Amino acid sequence: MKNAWQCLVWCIFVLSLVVLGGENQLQAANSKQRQQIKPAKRASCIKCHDQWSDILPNTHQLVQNARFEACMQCHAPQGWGMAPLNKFDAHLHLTHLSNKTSENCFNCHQWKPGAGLTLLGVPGKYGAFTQEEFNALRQIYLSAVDSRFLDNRHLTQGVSCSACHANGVIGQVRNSTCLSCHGPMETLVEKTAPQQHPDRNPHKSHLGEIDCTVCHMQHGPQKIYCLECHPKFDLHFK
Amino acid sequence: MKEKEENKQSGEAIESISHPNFEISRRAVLQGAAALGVATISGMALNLANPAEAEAANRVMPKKWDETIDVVIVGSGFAGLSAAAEACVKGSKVVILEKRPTYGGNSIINGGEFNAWDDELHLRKQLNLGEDSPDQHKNDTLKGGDNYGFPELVEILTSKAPEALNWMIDNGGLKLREILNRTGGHSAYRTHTCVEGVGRGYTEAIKKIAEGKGAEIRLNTALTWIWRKDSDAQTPIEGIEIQTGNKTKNIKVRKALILTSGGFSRDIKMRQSFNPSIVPEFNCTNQPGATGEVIRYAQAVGADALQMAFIQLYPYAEPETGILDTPAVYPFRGPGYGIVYVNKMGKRFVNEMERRDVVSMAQIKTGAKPTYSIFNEEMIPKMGTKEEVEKGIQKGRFIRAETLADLAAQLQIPADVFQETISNHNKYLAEGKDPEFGRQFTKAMIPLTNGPFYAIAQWPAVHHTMGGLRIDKDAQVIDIWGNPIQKLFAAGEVTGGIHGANRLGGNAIPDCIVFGRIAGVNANKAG
Repeated sequence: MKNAWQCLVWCIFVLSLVVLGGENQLQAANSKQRQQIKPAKRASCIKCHDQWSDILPNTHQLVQNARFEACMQCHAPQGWGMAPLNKFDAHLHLTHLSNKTSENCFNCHQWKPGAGLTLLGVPGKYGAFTQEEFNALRQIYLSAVDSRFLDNRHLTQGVSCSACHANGVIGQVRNSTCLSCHGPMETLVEKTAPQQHPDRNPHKSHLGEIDCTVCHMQHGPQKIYCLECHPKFDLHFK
Repeated sequence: MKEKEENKQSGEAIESISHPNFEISRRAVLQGAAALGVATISGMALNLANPAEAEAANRVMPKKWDETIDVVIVGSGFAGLSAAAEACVKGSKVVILEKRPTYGGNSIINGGEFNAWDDELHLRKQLNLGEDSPDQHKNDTLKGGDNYGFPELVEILTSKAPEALNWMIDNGGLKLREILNRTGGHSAYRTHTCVEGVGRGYTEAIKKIAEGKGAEIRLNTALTWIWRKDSDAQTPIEGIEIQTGNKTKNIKVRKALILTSGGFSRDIKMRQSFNPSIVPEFNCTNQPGATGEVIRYAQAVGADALQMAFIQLYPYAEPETGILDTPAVYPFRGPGYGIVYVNKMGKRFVNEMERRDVVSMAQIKTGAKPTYSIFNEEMIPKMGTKEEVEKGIQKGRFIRAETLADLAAQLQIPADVFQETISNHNKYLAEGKDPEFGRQFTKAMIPLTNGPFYAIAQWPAVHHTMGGLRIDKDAQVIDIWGNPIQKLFAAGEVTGGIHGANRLGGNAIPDCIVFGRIAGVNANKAG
């Protein structure tokens, strides 16, 4: 099922490039960008990691240089979803924003309020954020890399922000997004069916279909909504 | 005991978050008046804020609005959804704000009972359950509220109730059970039940209509202020301040603001401030969001509120938690078919046909928690479904026994007294006269002669606040000077003056939907 999804996402991506002539445009943009941006302003591993090839995973194929431009040829964000190459984004942020390192966003990114967030020296942007939104983004990233919340669990599994928040949209995630990996709903209902009290199934609420995030908050502690009215129910997260 | 502590704690927690503006002292009123004096020359906002909030005392109208919405509705229960459905006309933007993370408020967990003297299925005629009329429903409602309800408002409720019911059936896919009950305080069989047996049956139907017409529901979004320049009768509502998470936004309201935010049963401090007898020890049937702060926001811009002391106890809540679950509706539906209430001594203690306030007080006076509703197999299809009862037995809510003696043993009440009570009641029913409590017997009632017999424990819990914002027949909010406030409407439990001292069971849903629809229609004419 998951493979089928990945295939589909890839197909659409590649097709759209072919149909829209994206490849040419990308190249054009690439060369244009190259002219504008000085080498020093390009995001590159080599700025900090002299032996940058050592930090690549063992299984990683040989790459020509340490510039993000090169990385992005394979690791370009896929919008959303669980494409394995998206893990790059999650891992990079995890390692660079943890308590020990807490790198400045602008070592790699370029952004001005309202303008697109870009990777230095790499064409394409990751949504246009206001000052407020960018602050929120930064705060959530900094917290997520070390948090005990589900955002951290997702990141460490290689699920980047954009996997859920498509196209740079900050806001509540729809159930369909959650269910594309964790679904279908029926399996969750089955998984949490209580033996003793069949009608106390948290995934089959008498409130009808409610948002996953009512209980499964990502950027804060999870809570069991049922308990707000039914404090005696024996419900807990596994 | 532990349970009580938990309840108390959660109650207090709610209080602390819901009371930023509660202490309206005389000084605050004077400061508000002072601010008002300045308002005409400097563009201050009408302001009756808590002086403890320094910034509130200097609130000025927003210089720019973050968003403009034609009709904003606060609360996503029966009234809010109905208002939204009617307010949606071509090209207008209608948004429902809901402070909780799920829609539906108390409505979605409500018992699902809808009073209407008629319906498009003509259930009463079909089931041969006697006569009824809008006037009879109106008179019962007025009498049941000790004539504190305003007759012109009650008349709207009772005459438009069938239309509201049919609207949900025709446009929202609502399905009714083919049963009709005569419930406490009513003189006719007019209490309808939806197939789901819970308010969600209606909320889903209205939500379908509203969303189908383009209304949007924004969850986790609370009203935090109403913007109005001054208290002149011609001065409209300008907009509102709302909060989602930690983000605050100012919304310009182009056509109207409709308040459908429900009552304040879950705010212990607020309810006791109007009625000290509703002590914290009472359980509550409501969802945690029923905290009434929107009433204060409306009062702060001049709205009048009335009859705030009238707070209803639901007599048949689950005794330990106060929850109104599916089984807890059976004692309410049962009186018209012969259900009998007994206390721990095995004796009747009230006329089962009585209103909720009378039954609740009679229970409290028995001095021993809980009391029980007694019914038999034959009554089940009249009140609900066999399936529901079986589920209730599994949960330990209903108790079943083949004989009355066995039932008494299971309830740990004196079997001889209990059997005598039931046999006396059977005799009264056969004779058509109740010398003990004056029960009004009907032909539809079933004697408790054949088993199996059933019992369910019951105890009063805080349920509904009859008081609230003053509205007129157009659902427009009236100010303290008696004038309608331009562009401000309200419907449902947030309003007062309809049910009077005691709301008859099953009247809340028609109240909410009838006045919600009126508010929605008039909101469109307001801008």
